[in-house]
Amino acid sequence: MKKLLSLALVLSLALTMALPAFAAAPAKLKVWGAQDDQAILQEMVESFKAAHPDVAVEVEFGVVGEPDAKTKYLEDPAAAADVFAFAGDQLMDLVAAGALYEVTLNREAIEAANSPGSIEAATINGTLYAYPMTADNGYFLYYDKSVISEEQVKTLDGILEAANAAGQKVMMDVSNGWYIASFFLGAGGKLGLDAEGNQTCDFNNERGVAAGEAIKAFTANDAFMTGDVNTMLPGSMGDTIAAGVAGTWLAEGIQAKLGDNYAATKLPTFTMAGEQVQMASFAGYKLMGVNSLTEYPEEAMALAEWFTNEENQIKRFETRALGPANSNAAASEAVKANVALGALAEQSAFAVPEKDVRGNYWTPAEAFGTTMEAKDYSKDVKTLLDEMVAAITAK
Amino acid sequence: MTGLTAARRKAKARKGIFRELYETFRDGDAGTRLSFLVMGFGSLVKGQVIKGLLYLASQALLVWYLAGFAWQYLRKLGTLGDVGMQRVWSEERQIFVRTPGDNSLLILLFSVLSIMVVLGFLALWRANIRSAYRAQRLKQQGKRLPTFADDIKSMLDERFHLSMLTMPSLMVVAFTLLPTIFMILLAFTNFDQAHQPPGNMFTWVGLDNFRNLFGGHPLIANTFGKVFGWTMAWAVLATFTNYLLGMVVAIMINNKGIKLKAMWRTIFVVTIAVPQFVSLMLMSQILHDQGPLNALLKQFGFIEQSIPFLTDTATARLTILVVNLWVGIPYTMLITSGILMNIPKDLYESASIDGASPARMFFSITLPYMLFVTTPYLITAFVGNINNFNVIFLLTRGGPMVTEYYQAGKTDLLVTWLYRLTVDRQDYSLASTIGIFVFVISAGLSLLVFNLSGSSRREEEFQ
Amino acid sequence: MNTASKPRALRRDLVHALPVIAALAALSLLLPWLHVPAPEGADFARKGINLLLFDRGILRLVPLAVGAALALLLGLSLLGRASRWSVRALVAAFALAVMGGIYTLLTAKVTADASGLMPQPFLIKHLQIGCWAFLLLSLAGLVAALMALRQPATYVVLTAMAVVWLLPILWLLITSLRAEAGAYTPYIIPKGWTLENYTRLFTDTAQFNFPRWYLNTLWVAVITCLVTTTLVLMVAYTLSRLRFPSRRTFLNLGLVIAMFPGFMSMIAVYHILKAVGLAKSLVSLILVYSGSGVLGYTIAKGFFDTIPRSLDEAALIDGASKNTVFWKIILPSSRPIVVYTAITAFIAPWVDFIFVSVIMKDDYANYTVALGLFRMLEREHIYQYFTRFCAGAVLVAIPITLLFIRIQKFYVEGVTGGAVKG
Repeated sequence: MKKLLSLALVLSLALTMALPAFAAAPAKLKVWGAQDDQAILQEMVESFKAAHPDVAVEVEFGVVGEPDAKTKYLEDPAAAADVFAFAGDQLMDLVAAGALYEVTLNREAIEAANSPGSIEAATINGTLYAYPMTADNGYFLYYDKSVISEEQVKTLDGILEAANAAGQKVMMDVSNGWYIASFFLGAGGKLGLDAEGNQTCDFNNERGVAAGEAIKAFTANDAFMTGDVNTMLPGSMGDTIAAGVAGTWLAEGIQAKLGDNYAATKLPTFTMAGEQVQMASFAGYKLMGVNSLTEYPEEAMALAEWFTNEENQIKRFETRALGPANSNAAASEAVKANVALGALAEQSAFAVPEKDVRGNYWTPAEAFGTTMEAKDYSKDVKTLLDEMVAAITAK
Repeated sequence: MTGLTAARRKAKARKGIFRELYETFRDGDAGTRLSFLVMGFGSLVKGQVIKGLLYLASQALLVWYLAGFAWQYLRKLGTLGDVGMQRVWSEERQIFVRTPGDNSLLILLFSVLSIMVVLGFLALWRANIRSAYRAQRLKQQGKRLPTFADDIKSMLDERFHLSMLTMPSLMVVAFTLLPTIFMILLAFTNFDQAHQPPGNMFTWVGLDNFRNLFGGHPLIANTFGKVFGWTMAWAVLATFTNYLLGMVVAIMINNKGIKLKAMWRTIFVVTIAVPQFVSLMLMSQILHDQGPLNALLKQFGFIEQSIPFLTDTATARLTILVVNLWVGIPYTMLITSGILMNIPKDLYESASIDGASPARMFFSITLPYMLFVTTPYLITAFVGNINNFNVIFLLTRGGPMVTEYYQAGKTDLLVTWLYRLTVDRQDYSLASTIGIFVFVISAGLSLLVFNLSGSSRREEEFQ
Repeated sequence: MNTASKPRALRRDLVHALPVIAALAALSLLLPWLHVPAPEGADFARKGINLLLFDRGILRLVPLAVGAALALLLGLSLLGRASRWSVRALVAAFALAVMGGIYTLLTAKVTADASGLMPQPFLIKHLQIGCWAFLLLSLAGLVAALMALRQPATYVVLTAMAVVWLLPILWLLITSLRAEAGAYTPYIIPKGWTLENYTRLFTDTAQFNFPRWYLNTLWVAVITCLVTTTLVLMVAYTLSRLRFPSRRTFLNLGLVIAMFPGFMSMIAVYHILKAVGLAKSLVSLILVYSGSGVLGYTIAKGFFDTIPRSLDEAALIDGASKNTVFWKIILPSSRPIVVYTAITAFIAPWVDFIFVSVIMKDDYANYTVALGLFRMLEREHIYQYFTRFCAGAVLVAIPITLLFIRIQKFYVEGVTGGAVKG
């Protein structure tokens, strides 16, 4: 027995000790991007090498999409990429975890080149933590031109009226914290962070309750429809759905379905206590960050900056129709001609940065939306919102 | 050990390890005594070279392991890290130069690993002393010492259990036991959103998380109570509906008159073959408010409003129970159909002579027999349902969410709730605390039933 | 129902009831036209009958129901002789009637819509009452006819259940053959059919490298299967046959150790694997799956408990070592449990999508099929890839189904022997 046991021990110990530690001459960098971006990232690295012959880099790629970046990073920061793309809502959590390198090289140039909104979305307490990459992670309204007129689409009431007249639906995933926030943020509600980084939320104040009542009226309308927009909109727009709130990632499918009737615009205004209030939204940016644990900060920053420069943001738009955060790139005719990106740009005037939202917000917000959708009025809106805010700000 | 009978071994165990060590040291010769310090010494001086060298090598390895790897973690186990990430502005490079700090997670994990390695080593050390002492005794009695070949041979016979269990045990220790201990320890730390590496460290907080869970934090405590209640209700309902209906299906297929038995079984088995995440994903699509089922029912004119299969509390709970039947009945059917065939036929014959109806026969013969025989399976199924992550997560994701719960919904089980706590909030400490609770309930129940139930006591009966 | 070997006699009482049920069923089809509302009644009834006879739209309603009714009458006429054959014909007729009833019921609204008689709600309501009555009576007739033949009426229940169990699978199959993209369609039958979803899984690999993942999974599954089976048999045999001091501790520990929620420990497992240099490799997957598979030994142990001990004792007396006993005596008589263990271990890598994502992280090339398929459902991809996702799922299900069909018998025996004793 001893022999076998000791053999096994020897083996496991030997394996434990075999920790690799190398440091070679060229800067070895790992880059994370979505699977769809792998090819384009490779091209960008080639052009980076061509443009910076003095910087020796050896780049390796890993597939982690922007939505998963935070989770994958926190599972093992040491094994995470040196340069990685992530969705803007993860910024606060990443910064709180000490995951990101401050952008200190060429900061002015970067801030000048990208839209103020995108810079704000990457800045916390005056420190720039990431490089704006795209400005396409928000949402707006898709609609069927043959059902809803340009005049009607300006107000939620008009849209519902048109849809009801045509016997069709208006789709919005109200039981989703991301979308339902439009009402509260539009009414002037604030999601913020206190000194310790805990979530604050005032959606249960007077205007918040009025917004809640508006949600109640919206969900009670015959034309209202909820569900997973990603699966349903491309399948049903033009048949049973006249308008729907979603983001650019559905543009291709919806355009194919609607054909000539395809149209998109900013979110409408909604009626709140008698007045018309513009629906706000979360400003969705995708950012690129540098891992605070990187061994080669300068090279990593240079690469991140390259990935997000004007030329490459245009390239992203041209190959994948991703809206640029770079001001020049966004001003180009081609970008302006893109219906979905145009709508998003229109909406961006009413968009609120998502960086002040932490993980605790989503489930309680979904809970409120679910209750409204289920038309469960056993508690009044004020009580529900109080409970929601209590859960959001807990601990 | 070859000469030790079971009785003597038991007597020795009763004496206590320290007593035994002391007596061995007292009675040992120089070789045996030196084995306390230098492993394998006793074997080496008595000519058991290979054995001795192996002992020695393991000791050398341990020293190397402790010095080279384990010590850097073990010495920080008390605080779980004291040096945070350093950040210094470099005017020359125009960046903040960083030095990584301690990683509490790795300190905790590798400390647990090292402690287990040391415990394993201590067992080896004790075996080394025993072996030396036995060699000494055998030599004193003038008997032949077992050669290395003899030792190997005994591994295949009287100590066969050790050969058989070593490898599996090591794997279980590495991939189940060690991570479990690690997670249990997390419940006593503050590893949450505000204490994420690499920038932050977490540390021990004693019983704070338990206090929060059991009343200290009203919102969490209240949610915990409700979610726990539903978890238990779900586990009971899901287990018994599956069990009874699965058995009924098995009985129907096993009926003498039924032809094409294999075909009927195969039809049900096909649903096992489709990966659960696929079939449940499909189910959640089919059952969606605007999904095909609702669309069809409307088209047929049966309903006018969509049935909220997955979005209304009561309906959703019923739906997941029914879908769970769809998932589970094939398994139960397979498991019970064999056992059903084993029920003594004469029981039924005498009953049918007495004129008992099929239903009566089921309740007075079949069910009691099956319950008696399949208690272990039932318990496994019950515990499996307490932890039934897939069905809930893929069908409803715990929804419908409600505002009065803390990050939870009406169909959330404790496991899906703690999953959301780790994913949305990185609240590992609270999740671990809930995990411990789930574990205590499942484990306690299983141990109780297995050790009290007939099957454990009847273990020898069949052989 | 226990009858001897001689040809079983018909149950006369039930045979006499059959014509009555059949007649009632046929009559119930006329129910809607008996319930015409008063005001515009007469006119409406005439219109309805005209439609029934002449209108093409309403004709959609007729064929199966009327066909079934005809079959019923046919069966009735045979009843005079009441032989086993005539009752069998009646079973077929009732089965046809049930199908016709279901079809009619499901199409009633569509048909009524098409007939132009809507929006009068009366028709659809009463049409359905008639259909339901017809359906239920036909079902009763079917059961009665089966019982008259002294055949188990459970065929009816089993058939209904089989339909419920197979429909979702069928839907998966249909969707995998659907030509138009999209995750959600309000209809079931695709507008176009194609095999492209399957072929593109193998040709269009830049985004989703399905063939590579398939091979990864196959490789991991086969090795896991071998390793786990070996380990499980070792542990089960030891705990069932050998007696040693810490045996009970082992039994209890093995029982409860896996009950801590598994995914909680994945990050720890990942760091352990990383420490030994195995992170993100297929080998680490094999280790992890085998490591958790070992704990499934309880069923195998239960099975071994049922093998008579006298067998190994005899061998031991003949001088065989315990090692020999295991290989020469226990293993050959344990084919069912070996098969059961092997299948369970083989399936695990095909269905896990959580563990593998923690282990593989950013290493796309080492994904398994389950994780790869799961990725197709992300919001950016689901519209374009859903049909391909279904095709991939079918390709995963096929080998497992075939495996199950071939060795179902062993599976049942294995799990039976084991679960009894646990």
